[in-house]
Amino acid sequence: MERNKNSELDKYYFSGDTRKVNGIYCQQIDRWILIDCYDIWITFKTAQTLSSKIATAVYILPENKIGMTNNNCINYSIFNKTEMKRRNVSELLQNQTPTLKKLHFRNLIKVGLPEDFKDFEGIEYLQTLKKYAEYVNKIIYGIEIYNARAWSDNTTIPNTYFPNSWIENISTYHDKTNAEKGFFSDFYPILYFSNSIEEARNSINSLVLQNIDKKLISQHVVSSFYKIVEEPLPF
Amino acid sequence: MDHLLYFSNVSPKHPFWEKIYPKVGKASQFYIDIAKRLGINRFITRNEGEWSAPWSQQIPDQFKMLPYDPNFKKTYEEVTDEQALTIKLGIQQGKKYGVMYSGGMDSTCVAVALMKNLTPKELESVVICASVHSRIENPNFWRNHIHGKFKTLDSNRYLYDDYINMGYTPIISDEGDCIFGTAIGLQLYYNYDYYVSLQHPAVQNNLMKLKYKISDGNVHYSKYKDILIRYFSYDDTDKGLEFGKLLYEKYHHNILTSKMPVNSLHDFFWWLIFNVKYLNCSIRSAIYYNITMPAKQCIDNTVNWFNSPGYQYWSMANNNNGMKIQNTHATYKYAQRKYIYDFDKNDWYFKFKTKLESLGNLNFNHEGKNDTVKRFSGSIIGMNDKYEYLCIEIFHSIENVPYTGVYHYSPEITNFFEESLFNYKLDWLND
Repeated sequence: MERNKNSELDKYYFSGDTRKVNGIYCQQIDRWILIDCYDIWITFKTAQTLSSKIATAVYILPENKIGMTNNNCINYSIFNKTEMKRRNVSELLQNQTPTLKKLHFRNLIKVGLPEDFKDFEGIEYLQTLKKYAEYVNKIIYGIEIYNARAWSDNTTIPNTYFPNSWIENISTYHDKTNAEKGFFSDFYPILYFSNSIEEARNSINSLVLQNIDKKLISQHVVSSFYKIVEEPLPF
Repeated sequence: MDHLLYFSNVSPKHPFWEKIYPKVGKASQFYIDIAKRLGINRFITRNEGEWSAPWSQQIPDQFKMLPYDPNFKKTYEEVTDEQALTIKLGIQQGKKYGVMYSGGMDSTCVAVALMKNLTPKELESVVICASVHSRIENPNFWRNHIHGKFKTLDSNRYLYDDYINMGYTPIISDEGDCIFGTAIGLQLYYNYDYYVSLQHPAVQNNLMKLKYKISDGNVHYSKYKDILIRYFSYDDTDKGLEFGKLLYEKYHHNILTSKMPVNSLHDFFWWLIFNVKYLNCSIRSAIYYNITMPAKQCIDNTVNWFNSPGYQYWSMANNNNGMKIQNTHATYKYAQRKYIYDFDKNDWYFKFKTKLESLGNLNFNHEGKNDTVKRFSGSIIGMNDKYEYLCIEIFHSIENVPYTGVYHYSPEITNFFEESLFNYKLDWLND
């Protein structure tokens, strides 16, 4: 659908020649931990999932002319955070859960690693944080793509659009597994509560294997998912 | 009326201020401007150092500042465990407690201390009062240590008078920031580069060299004077900047006339809450989140966890040694992070927990009581030494709420406040 130039949606999505990127900024270290070139809502869900461990904010960066990429973003900060206030406190220091914001690239500043994380141990912590954020991000892409491809889903439409009285005492299912919101959505709490990539990977693999053994999900579907998220197959 | 116990809570936008602001002198306008810039709860001190106000003020004995003891050697862990033992003793005497658990660092510290020092049987006398926001702020702690192990109550549903009426003594951690330094300082550290950029180019290099010296006892806070003035200003007009200068000078005068060594920039911000705002932190919850109980009864039936002598002495004896903060806000409350980490071994929490405004997690909605609380707090201008709320007006529907606190209004009270403002003078500019 063609939209007028300068439509409100332009602020959130790619349009014309402008290449927007999305980023997750972490208040505690005052640096960026993830830059994502694809989907703002996946970036946002990634930040929500990380909120069990870190408070973050999600930004749309309309014009990334400063050269900040996912590889170097840990060296970048936001220069002026004084405008974002609720009462007398910076909005960034109020909530554990992320909110969506916009930022002009001129307000980005390259300052190097955060001062309290410059020693060997600190750098290791930063790497762990960044790698976990990237892992969560790629798994969520897979989850959302596979939820949308689930041809047997008879849950989403009734639960979202039907009056409750239509589906009382009627069984609905997303897929053959017992997962209320679909098999792949069960990965969300795993990502939320896990403390490391290894813990999350093992839990996901274990869930996959259990359901394959019970023939509730096919090896073919699972293989396609693992291909998208670029993870080794567990079988 | 000679003394106010506590000056509180009228919105800076209230017509009372608007009406009187143009009529009063510079000092009183400054006083009203404090409310505009920093909030309405920063008008009182614990009487340490000179601090003039339009009204003379009294501090309840239990919140008065203890004398500075530089030889105090107990660790944060020791004073925290000691405080838990006072709760243990209370339980052995038949008391029940409700931990006001916001999910923030202070209330997590309280929960850890109790789990560490009380037996499983004793912990049965402890209920965790929390909201969904409390769980969101620290979900792994909730899952690992609270869920299924404690009785919990929904803090959106109950106020402090409810807990007391149910037989629980609320344990509050509102003075947690007072022990480590005010979050107002963190806001400045967080935007340090920006505030330096507003200074004259000739001094910017020197100021940047001080960026990570916020907790260096050899770098006096006055070296940051120009940044502080700009930071305190309510805008960048001449009037706004003059306010910033007056406020800096008022704090500076208070520090110079106190007996406590206040050296580094973080010491400065610590003092602004350990002395200047402390009473607000101590008694605000008993006032805001209580409808039916006289304030004194609610205060006397609440445990102010961080008001213990151990914490007070610890706080005064542990400036600039890395226990309160190191180079940036990322290490704020270091000793408390360490105490929690030693219990639950959560690396993420130790390194990446952000200091947030968590108190609001507890009383987000009140299930319909919210309107009452807002109206109630919006009309109080102070509390006298008989613990009567002094109001500048009675809201029309106040009779319809189940309020039984001592609520005092008369035209003379409004006159008292107005006359006091007319007589107030600038008296701190001679240093």
